[in-house]
Amino acid sequence: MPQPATAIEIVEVRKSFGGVVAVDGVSLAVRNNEFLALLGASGCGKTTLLRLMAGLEAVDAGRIIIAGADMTATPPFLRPVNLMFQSYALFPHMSVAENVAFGLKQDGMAGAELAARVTDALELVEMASLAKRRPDQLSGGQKQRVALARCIAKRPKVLLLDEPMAALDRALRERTRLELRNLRERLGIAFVVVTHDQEDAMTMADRVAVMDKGRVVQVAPPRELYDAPCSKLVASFFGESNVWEACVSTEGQRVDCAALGLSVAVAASLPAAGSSVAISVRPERIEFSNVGDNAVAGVVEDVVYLGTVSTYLVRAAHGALIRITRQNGTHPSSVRGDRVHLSWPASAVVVLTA
Amino acid sequence: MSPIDSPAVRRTTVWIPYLWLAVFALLPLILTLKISLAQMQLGVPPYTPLIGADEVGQKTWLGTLANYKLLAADSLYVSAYLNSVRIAAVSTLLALLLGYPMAYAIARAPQHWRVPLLMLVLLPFWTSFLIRVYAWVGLLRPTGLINSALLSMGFIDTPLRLINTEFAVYLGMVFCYLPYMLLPLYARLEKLDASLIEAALDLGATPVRAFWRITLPLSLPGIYAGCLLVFVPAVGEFVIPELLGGADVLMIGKVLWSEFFSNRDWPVSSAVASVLLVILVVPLLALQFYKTERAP
Ligand SMILES: Nc1ncnc2c1ncn2[C@@H]1O[C@H](COP(=O)(O)OP(=O)(O)O)[C@@H](O)[C@H]1O
Ligand SMILES: [Mg+2]
Repeated sequence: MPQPATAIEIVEVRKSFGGVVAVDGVSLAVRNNEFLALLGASGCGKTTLLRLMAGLEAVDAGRIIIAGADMTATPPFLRPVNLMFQSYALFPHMSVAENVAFGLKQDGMAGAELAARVTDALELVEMASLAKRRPDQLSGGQKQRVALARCIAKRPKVLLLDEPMAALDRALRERTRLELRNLRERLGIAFVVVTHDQEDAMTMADRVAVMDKGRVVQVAPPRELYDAPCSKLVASFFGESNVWEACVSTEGQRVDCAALGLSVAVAASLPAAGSSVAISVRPERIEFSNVGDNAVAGVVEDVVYLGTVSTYLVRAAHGALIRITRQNGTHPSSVRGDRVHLSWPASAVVVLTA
Repeated sequence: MSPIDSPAVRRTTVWIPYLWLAVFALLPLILTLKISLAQMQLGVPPYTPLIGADEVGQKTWLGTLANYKLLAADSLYVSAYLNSVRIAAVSTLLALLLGYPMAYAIARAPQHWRVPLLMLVLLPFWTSFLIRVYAWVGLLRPTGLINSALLSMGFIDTPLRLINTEFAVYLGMVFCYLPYMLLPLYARLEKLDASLIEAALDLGATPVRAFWRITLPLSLPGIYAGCLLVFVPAVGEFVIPELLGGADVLMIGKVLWSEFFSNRDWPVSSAVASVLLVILVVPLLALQFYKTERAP
């Protein structure tokens, strides 16, 4: 049988809760073996979309195809996917090993085979030594590992993870990102991770689906989302960016920006003259210099030292607040109150039409 | 520090429950045990003292276990105890079988429905216990509502024997004690994290399996509490077997009543009460033991 190209295909899925639209006509394909992140602000419908994939919620409209089979109406216990809950949902009356064995026993597995699969799964998350503990005797990070082991022991076609890092401290978070990536490579299955943290999404995912108000607004690899966001929302999600309203000029390849008091040179293709757009310029693309495609003068309002880089907030003459990030030590550092000149190339300007 | 939470006030507050228990539980218990070791006599009080003067005027111990020997020897008492435990156990089981699905349904109902539904279950308890049991007499007796309805509709020719049966006692017990089963079960089931059930479903368990492996084990503390709250008062119940069970249903509460009020035998009735207490303490201790065993 030829393997279908997509692990999960979501077609025009809708879900509302008593008038509140949680998922509003989403179409999304999760490819085989990919690490897909669902990124969006709290309340935008990420968890609901994940629960729809797991079968814990029924769709109002649309279809869900898992590994080539239409599973829109299939109950959760018959779907070849597993969900790791944000709360982990470990069974408090069972030991770590019993928690992991639970799902396998439902498939009728027993004896030596069961024991071997449980040990394998626990070893994969380095929890084999705590197999006899109860969930209330584990730390947050350990609970997360057990929840993960409980899912992967079932060898699902797709692993769904709801905010897996939300309850972890910063150091553990960073380690877990790498571990999840490695785990996905070793298992060779698709992972769908829900997160509201763009750093999580950027560092782990092959592709990121950005969600807003129940819709998927852009699906792309992290690099592409960063360099070519399709909307202000996406641009603002990926790092602190400079975003200004502008109007396409009648001169070619320029937009007029009132906040900057500048006709900004743009390399990207533009809509018809007179259209209003937004332009985005990454803070690290702006230099302290008065030569370049686009140059403005301003006063340094604030300097934030961040170790290897510093962030400068510069107030332009026409009122715009411009954010610049520079490596420390590469140029004479400015201090608050300095008058400075800023410039950036036309190629640094991203045009956002939505 | 305000005077209200000064150490002195706090120390006194801590002692209030102990004082209460000492005056209203321990003292009556000691008095009952004391009387159970005495003999009946005519007079005030209607029992002999435990310490008295013998023929030569020496202070001597007059207490006796005769009352307890009587209880063990007379099959009336033994079978009354056994009957009480059996009827209470069956009533508890019936209340559990009825109460569990009810508690489950209320706990799973939409949030704003839960309190009204609980209120409906508790509504009959706003009237007196005695009146509720009398209401069942009115329903069940040969000329009562149920029999006259069945007769007039032609389903039966002669009235069914409903009252003065063990069936009527079970009916009364379950009806009267259901809330004591329902409330602890509800409290437990309502707290149960729904995502645990969802996790079980996600891991391949059917809803039925998820119930047996997750919901039921996690509601065990509620089951124990509910069973205890029904079983303990049911064993010593007097009103229900008296009014609904009639002469045929022998329970220890009725024996206690007649020893005390008809025979005016304070020592024997005290012995009956003391043995009853032991019977009731056993399941309590078993539960306590179970709890300490399970604690990590
Ligand atoms: N079971 C539910 N009942 C009612 N409303 C819900 C339910 N689940 C989610 N919602 C609503 O749907 C929207 C999306 O929620 P959710 O999917 O949890 O968002 P996210 O995970 O992105 O924070 C929210 O407005 C939330 O209040
Ligand atoms: Mg969520």
